[in-house]
Amino acid sequence: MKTKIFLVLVAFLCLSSIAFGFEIPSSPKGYVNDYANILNSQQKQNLEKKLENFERVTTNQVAVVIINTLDGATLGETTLKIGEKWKLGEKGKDNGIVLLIAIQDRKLRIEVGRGLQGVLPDGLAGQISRQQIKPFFQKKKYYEGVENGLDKIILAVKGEYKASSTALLGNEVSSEGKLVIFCLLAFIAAIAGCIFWPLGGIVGGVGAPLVSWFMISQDPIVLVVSIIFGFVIGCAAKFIMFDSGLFFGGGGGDGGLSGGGGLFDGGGVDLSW
Amino acid sequence: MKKSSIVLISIGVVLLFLVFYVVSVFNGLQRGEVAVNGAWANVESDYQRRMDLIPNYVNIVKGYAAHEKNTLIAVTEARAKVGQVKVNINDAKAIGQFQAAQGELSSALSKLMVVVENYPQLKANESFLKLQDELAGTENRINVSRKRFNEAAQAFNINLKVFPRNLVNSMFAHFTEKAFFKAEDSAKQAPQIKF
Repeated sequence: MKTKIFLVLVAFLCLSSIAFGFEIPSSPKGYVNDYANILNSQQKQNLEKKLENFERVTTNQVAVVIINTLDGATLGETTLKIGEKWKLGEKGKDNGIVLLIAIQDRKLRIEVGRGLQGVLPDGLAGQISRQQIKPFFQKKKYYEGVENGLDKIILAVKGEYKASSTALLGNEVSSEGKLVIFCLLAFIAAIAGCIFWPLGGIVGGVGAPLVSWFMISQDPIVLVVSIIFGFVIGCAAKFIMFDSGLFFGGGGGDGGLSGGGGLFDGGGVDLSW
Repeated sequence: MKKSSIVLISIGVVLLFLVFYVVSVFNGLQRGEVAVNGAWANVESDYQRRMDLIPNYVNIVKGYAAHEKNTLIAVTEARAKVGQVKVNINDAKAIGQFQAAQGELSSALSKLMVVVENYPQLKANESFLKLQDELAGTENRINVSRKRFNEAAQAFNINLKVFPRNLVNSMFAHFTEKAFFKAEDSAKQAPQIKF
């Protein structure tokens, strides 16, 4: 009797796994999501860096997802869900791409967000998977295949969107970001002020004009004003922040991808190897 | 204050609320209709995309496999038939006809794609392969946009039918139910490839 129940249970579990296919996590681990553990950490890091740089320059988000098996789901359904769930690409641009690889099924798909279909049409996506990825995968050289494929995708898509010039220098600084940097500066000034209060003034007097020079304007009047304000606030920072009990906690940014895009319409190409 | 004026004020307040309610229902339905129309526009553009790709595909196949005449003609004819169907998303019958014509085209096309497998030269032609990818991608887009249209249409229909919105609609708005795609029996069956 017990074995019967057990068998029924096993059968049920098998069926349910078939019905649901690959369970997509609610948020990605990064650009490279290797759920099948095909890549070693060095390889993962290389790809991760490549895609991070690519996003910084172009704002395009490319996610690589490697799984063992689709469990009967189709490639298209799965990539569409990934793209929408992770909101790949920026809002309004919809410039996300998903490269899904199912190792045991020997299948892959490049799913292209609506904003990039002009530069990466299905024909080109198919060509990349056929000529740049498939030959490597057939030799079980998964890392080489993925890297080569990504290089070609990047090459194709590169020109479509450009990050704004501030983003090219580093990360794009939003108005909230500026506020955070000023709070950070005040915080550092306050710590310096704790040691010796004029030190806080010096940190503020130097830091504030530096920050405003790079982020707001190179106007000399702004510079003079920020030196004076920076010095005064820096001197007072210790008293304002520590003595009055006001304490700024560091705000954590939400890491990973989630640009608020995610408009995918099923464009892209399947390939078996 | 007189009793009668209290009654009058209460009636006024109730009427005001009713007007607000009717307006909000009307706007909700209006918004729903815009969403349905937008989803339909996507369906149409995806089908149009397929229509635009077919002549090139047929031409390139013709160059290598001219004696597959019947299959090629079937595709061209089915394509021409689709062009004659006029669609109106408020009319379930028209959508049925549209769906039938597109389904016929789909099956003619998939037959051609099976036949093409027998021509290794064609399969080595990069521009053919690209076109084939474009077509496959378009089929996929069609499925997605159809699904999304159905979702929008069904959401709209539910909104329309629920009490008391249905009363508001029949009195003031006169929106009609949207037709949607039915699951296809013939088109859903993938062509069987036998070796």
